[in-house]
Amino acid sequence: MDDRSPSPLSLAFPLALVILAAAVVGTFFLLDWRLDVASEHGRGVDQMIFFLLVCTGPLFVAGHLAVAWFVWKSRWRDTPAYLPPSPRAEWLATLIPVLLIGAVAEGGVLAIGMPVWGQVYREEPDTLPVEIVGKQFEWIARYPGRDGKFGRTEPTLIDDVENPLGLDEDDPAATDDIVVRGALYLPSGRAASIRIRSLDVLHSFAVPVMRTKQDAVPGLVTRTQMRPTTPGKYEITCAELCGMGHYRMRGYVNVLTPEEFEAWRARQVGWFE
Amino acid sequence: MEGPSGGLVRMSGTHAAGGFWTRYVFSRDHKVIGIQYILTAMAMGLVGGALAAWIRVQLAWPGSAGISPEQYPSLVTMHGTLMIFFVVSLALVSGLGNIIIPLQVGARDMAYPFLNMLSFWTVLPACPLMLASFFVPGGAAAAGWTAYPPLSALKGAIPGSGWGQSLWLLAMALFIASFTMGGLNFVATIFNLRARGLTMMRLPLACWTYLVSSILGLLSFPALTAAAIMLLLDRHAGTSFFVPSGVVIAGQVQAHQGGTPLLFQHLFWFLGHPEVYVLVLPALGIAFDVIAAFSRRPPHGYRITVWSLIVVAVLGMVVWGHHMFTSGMNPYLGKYFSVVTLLITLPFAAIGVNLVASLWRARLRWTPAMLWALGLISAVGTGGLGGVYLGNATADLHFHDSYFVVGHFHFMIGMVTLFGTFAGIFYWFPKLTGRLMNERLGRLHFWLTSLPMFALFFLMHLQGLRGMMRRYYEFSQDYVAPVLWLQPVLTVLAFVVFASQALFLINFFRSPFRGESAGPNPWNATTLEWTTPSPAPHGNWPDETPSAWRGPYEYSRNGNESDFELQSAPAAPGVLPSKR
Amino acid sequence: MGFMESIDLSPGEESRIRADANQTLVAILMAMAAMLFAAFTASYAIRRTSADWIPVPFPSLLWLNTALLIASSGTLELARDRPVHARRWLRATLALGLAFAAGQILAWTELAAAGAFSPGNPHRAFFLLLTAVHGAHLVGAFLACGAALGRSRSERLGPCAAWWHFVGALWVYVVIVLRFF
Repeated sequence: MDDRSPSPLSLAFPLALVILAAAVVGTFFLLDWRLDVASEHGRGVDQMIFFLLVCTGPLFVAGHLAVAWFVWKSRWRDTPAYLPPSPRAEWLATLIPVLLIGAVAEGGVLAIGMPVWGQVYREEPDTLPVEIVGKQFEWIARYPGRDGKFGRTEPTLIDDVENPLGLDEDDPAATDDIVVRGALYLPSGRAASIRIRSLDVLHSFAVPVMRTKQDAVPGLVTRTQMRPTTPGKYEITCAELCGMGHYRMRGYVNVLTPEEFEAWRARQVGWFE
Repeated sequence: MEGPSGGLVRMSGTHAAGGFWTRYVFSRDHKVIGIQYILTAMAMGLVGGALAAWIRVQLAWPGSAGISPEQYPSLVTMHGTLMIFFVVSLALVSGLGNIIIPLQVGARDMAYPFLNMLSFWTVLPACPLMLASFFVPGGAAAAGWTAYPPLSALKGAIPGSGWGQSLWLLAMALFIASFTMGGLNFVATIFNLRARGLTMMRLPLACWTYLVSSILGLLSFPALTAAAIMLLLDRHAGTSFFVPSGVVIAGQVQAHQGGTPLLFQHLFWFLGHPEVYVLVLPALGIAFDVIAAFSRRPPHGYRITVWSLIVVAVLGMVVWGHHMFTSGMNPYLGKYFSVVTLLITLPFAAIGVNLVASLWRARLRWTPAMLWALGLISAVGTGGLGGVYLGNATADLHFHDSYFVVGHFHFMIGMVTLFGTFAGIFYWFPKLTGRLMNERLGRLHFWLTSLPMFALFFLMHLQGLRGMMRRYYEFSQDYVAPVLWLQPVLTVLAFVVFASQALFLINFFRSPFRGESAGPNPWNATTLEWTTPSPAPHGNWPDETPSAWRGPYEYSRNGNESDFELQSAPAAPGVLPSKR
Repeated sequence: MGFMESIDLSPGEESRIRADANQTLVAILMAMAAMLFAAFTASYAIRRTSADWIPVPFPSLLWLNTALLIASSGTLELARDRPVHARRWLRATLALGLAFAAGQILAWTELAAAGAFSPGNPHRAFFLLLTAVHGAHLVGAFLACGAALGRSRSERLGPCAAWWHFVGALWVYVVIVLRFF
């Protein structure tokens, strides 16, 4: 047990840690993990993530190097060299790295994170009201039509082909509602206030390129807001296990220029028109 | 062999050697029960690992694994449930906890040995029940290990929500009952059966973590119990606690009305988040003990660590909402949960920093247990930093339910807990069997498990950054294409991890017969369990139980002849261990 | 000097440790039961805000039951106070407890007959759920105090009396929640 010749592991282990740390850092430069971003708050989310990467990266490397260094040093020590530190030194040795990590975590969320969070959930004037409804396994979008009001829906009226949302024909507000299956059309530059519903189980309205994610909860209307910045076609996906077709519950956000969007809207007819 | 009459022997019932059945099957000996738990966890671990490997084949080469989209959610659900509750909980908490606690506190057994036996025999039938659910109509539960309703409440929502989900709930009920009995025993034993002189601040850190983890588990499991009872009633008695009005499944409007799906999520995560600490903290405690023994110095900042553990536990109970940032709960609650969650970084980082600082001026001994403990430091550091991303509500808008989350929790409740378990098994194996495990096999097992695991779960973080969602049968989204080439790589890594466990199994089952003989204290460690012969007899000490005259980690005190001092070694005259 | 070298624990010391362990056990069980009912109460508070909440008339029999259970706590304290007559008072406690349980079952079946778990009546579902879960805790109290009856030493009554009182207090809490909220 107490042999004096240093174990090859006291060389191999620190080396492994250094290689590991280098590999982790290297992977960030080699792999194509960066996803495009096409919404205003999405840039904020990316800034938040970037801040964390830049701050925790060095902490990660420093931690691994510290372990590697201590282990490496132990190669040459064969007399009891440990001296219990004073309680004060002990506290300081712990406290300084802890405060550093705490500052990164709390500072990041308070200074960078929360304003972006607020951007997603604030009620802005002059937003475009849209609704996105999840059902097993598709997304259905609805626009309030000319009257600006979403019409009443009734679960008993739901017919998968004739009336997928169960719109109530007797409600005048429902007549001009525009229903689009599988696609959401949004103008760029204008914030869309998205109300999210589910007809059956939990879903989650996720548009990774927009950095948007909000659960669709049956019995509840949830809300999120996004301001698309770049015209294009972006995938909607489901981020909450909703059944066997969860993986193929797809849709698209088509971001158009404001003019294109108005033209598109003018072409739509209400569900009961 | 009649146990001695002294000490706490009568607390533990009789210790007469019975026949085969009372000694090895219906034993009340905490060590035998601990081994029973570990063997059970190993069997379930093989199933859970095989499920993971099977899932990985589908993910790497879609369609080639013979898994249908209907079956896939079942496999994911069962992999998670088995690994969390029937592998890590049983092996690390119930198993090693049973083995370590009475020995380290200097007791002859648990406070309630019969309850302890009952606890094992309650969870054992849960295992076949859980596995049987693969063979019932509709297959195993498929709503995820989180079992969110309405998916888990409505039979038509997904095939596994019929019989499979019922069996899942039944098996979980047995698990909770067993875990509760075990936890009660842990707490009563640590609080009341400590040896003379073993004050709380002389308790080894492994015991501290088991204490904190048990109390945390006991206080948070009732929320899941309540949720499970209400889910059961929703499923079978027609109530609507969690199912809202107007749910339409396959064109049929369901009869339920007025329930709140979010309520279940709150109750679930009120357990679910503390459960993470229930599993992770004991692994950290074991790492502290192992590192102290093999670095020949006391851990850095014992008191800081103890208080940090307590703060982690307290904060851990009020941050469950960080699993629900995007669930539709009030955005102000999201802010609260984010800020408080990130406060946990402070005590948690203190524990991590103390682990690292414990290596300062160490004289290392390269046993496999030490390798696992050192590997654990890397895993807990990396996983902990990942937690800083996920506790941040804003970043979570991107990460929620992505592979970033999958990678993160596999670091914490996959790697950290397993590394701690392996470290603990290697370290205390001689105390149970009287023999050492093979070091060469142990080292090989370490390298072949730890490095591929790190690569596997770290790369998942990057897939998550790219927007890959969890619980997907296959990926056809354009935006994830640049990281899809990693899928076969990860699958190969997963197979290396799975296959290398054979090395551990060979070592574990061969060493009791072929291993090198170990004396009472093969590691020259200090805590009380090393004062009794190996293997420790039923009743733990052939003569009197030891008393504690000093702290748990008296290594390398200057001026001492040997570089360690057993906790039971009498101190200078006049210093009496007074407190029981 | 070493107290463990030759002497055993004295019988008094050993029984003190056992009593301490039992106390720990009961304290944790109480905390757990409190958490369980806190979870149910939270669910109750959230569920009652939905539109289909129709309060169920409070069965007046439950007031009598409440009185019985409170009285049983009184007799249990008498049992602890008077070691000589401990067994008699303990029997009275158990009898009052059984009367409470019988009354509970009566009220329960009455409610159940009226469509206990019909989807449209969450208040009634909570009624049955809370009384049933409370009943399960009462079974524990019976087992503990029944076991104490078998033993003669009344000083061992501590933990089981604590649990009995706790179950009584829990019931009062349940009554307050169900009747007034």
